[in-house]
Amino acid sequence: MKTLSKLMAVSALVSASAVGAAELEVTHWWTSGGEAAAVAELAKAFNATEHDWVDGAIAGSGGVARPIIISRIIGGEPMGATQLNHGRQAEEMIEAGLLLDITDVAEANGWADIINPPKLLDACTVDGRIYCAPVNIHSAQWIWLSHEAFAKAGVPVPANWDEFTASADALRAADVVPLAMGQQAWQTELAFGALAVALLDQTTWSAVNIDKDAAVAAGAEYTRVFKAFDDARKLAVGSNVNDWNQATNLVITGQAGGQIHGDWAQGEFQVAGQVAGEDYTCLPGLGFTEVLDTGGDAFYFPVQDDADVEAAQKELAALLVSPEVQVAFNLKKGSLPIRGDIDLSSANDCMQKGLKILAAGNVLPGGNISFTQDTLNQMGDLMTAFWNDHSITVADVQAKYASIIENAD
Amino acid sequence: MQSIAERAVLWSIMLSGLAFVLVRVGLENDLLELAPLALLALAALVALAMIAQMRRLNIFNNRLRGHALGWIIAAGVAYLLSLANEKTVQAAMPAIKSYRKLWKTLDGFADFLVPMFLLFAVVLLIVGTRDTKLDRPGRIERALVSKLPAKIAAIPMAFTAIGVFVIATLWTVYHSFTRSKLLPKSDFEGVFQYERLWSTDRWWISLENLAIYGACSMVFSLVIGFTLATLLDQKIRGEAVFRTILLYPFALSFIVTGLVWQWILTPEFGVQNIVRSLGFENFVFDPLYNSDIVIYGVLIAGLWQGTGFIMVLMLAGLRGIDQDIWKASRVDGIPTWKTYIYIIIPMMRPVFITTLVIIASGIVKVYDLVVAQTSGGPGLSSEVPAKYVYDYMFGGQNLGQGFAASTVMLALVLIPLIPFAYLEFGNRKNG
Repeated sequence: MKTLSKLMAVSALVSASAVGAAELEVTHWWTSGGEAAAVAELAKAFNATEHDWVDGAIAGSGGVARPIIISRIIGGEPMGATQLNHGRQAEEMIEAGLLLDITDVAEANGWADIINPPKLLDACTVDGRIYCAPVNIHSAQWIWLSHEAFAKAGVPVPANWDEFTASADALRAADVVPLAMGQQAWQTELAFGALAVALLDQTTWSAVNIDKDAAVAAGAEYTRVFKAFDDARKLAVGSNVNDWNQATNLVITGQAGGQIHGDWAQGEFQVAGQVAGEDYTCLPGLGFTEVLDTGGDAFYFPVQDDADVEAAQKELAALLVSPEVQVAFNLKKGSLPIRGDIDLSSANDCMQKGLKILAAGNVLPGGNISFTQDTLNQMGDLMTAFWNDHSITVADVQAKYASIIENAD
Repeated sequence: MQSIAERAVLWSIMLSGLAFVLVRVGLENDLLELAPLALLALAALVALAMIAQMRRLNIFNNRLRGHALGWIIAAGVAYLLSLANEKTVQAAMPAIKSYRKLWKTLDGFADFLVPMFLLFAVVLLIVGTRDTKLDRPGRIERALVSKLPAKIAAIPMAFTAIGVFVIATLWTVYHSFTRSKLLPKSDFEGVFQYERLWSTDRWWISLENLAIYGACSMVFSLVIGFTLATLLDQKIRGEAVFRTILLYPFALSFIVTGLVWQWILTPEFGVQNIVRSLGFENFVFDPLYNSDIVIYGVLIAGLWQGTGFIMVLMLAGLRGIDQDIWKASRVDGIPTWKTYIYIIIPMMRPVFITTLVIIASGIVKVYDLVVAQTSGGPGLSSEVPAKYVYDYMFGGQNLGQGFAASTVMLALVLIPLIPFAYLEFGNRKNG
């Protein structure tokens, strides 16, 4: 019986390969409402070809999904394609030859000319070969403000972080938590990163985040960031939620004044039927500097011993970057597209702001691009400890941060 | 003279096996990589010298020819295994191709086993030619011939035990001295990972939590488990019902236990809310949201899950006590509680030791309970070492750091275990 079913599976495989169609299992961690709607667009586009998209969503954010995905690739059970944040996460798997080289697809479609900002493609490139297809740009330096909450408190909606902290007392008086924050490490780390970009000038920021200069990280300019972060942790007292979309939901329902979070939060406002500028306000760079970082998501294609699968993988790679898919996907997800040559006039207020900054070229590399996952993990631990334990002082946390920067590789 | 030669052969084979294991573990050193085969060659030289001394080698009319033939067949089988790794053979037999990773792993072993088995055959022929009488078998004969079926039957177990417990452990310990990131690397880098580990706050918090959780869980599960068992032992009515109820939590996984207790301890819905609705408006009980006591919240869940099992173990121990002892103590007029403390508990020593080992192993590996109940929060205040290992090994893509942490965990287990095992099992041999 077992042999028979094996035989049938083999013959099914043979007949399938005869027409060249393949099933690709695609793993990703896009599970919140807005994200799921966006990923459905990708699946729709891919299913329109002769291939099949097998959805392999993994719930619980990148911290949970990434180890599962990487273990599968290393353990010899590779999926057809997978989401990862491009940057240093895949570095070693590329060196070990576990990921498919898609340079030919990139050259055939002229990615070098269309992908904007070009740094994105650099993050996919190792020794001149391209290993991933970027799909969107995410920037973390946004604060999302609830009009309803500020109306309750009777204060105007703030225009930057300083005004926001100034209105905190009024919000507390109206029984609104000023700042919503999920309890996962990466979210506090993200808030810290956003404050750093917003409060520092670019030279100081790059000295630490690109050149890893520990002396600057221990310096007076950075003290200002840690002080702001200290304010933030006080403002967030009372926000006992875990996932980022639960925190966003506090803002949507007016239970919290604002949330420092990446632009993917926008998808949630959209799903809830809220309108930018009327129900909520978004401030890139926390209202100070109009600068965004360019982390983002990309698809990697694990090497598989099958020519049909490889063809399907390359087709998917080309499809992900194509203009139609870029428009459909990014409108749903609320992220910025990776090419500058497409029409996104149907995008809402917040996305237009982001597009304008992108067009002006005010971009920085994202954390995933300059730091290894190991360093990010250490920073996450430090920020979580600081965020939750109010007995840790600003001076302590800054000293520890500087030592992590010093040891980063 | 003979016994020295035999000893030399056996020792060089054993050392060669040890060197082979070390090389498989990942020690990359030119000298060491040569060592397994070099030592086998040495053993072979000694064997040749023994043949030269005897001046003849009787192959067909040999007392041990059956055994020698057996080893030659074993060598042949090992050679076949190594053949399966050849590309040409795989091309001819597609059926074995899908297991090529297995063949590749086995090939390394086969290359070592083939000469070793052949050597066994040769030395047995030597021994068989030389010792025609069976008054006292030599060392080689004792090692390779006597009780052979038992030794062969033990091979799968020995392979698993050595593979999993020895090779894998040595491999992990060795790689904790490297800078392995996502994939293991073999370059020795010194104690760098340990320096980083011991300077990490999170690791210290984890150890502190493990100490609190461990001490409390050890004491409370033993005390509560034994008390419950004693109460059930009073020949009460409906004992089976109580036993089932108390043992039931043990049927749940730690994940489910963690989630259940997360709800029970949530201030808005759980215990706090119930007590408040009874009229105590200021009652506060929110261990999972207070960093100072969160580990006790985890402890409660752990005890709830595990105590029933300890109780059953204890009950079995109590039932194993001879009823005559009870009768005797009653005749002497000893109060029941005194009988328990001075007579029954000392008699239950083996049960207590088993229970202790079970509880202790449960403590060191506590991970899923914390993940389900608090995810290490609030902040880092309920982190445990096993979670640190996982987070850095997989989440942080830093194998070296995870290995260093797990090596320390192993050491933490071994430090109390070795003296304990020595006292416990060393004495038995003497007494």
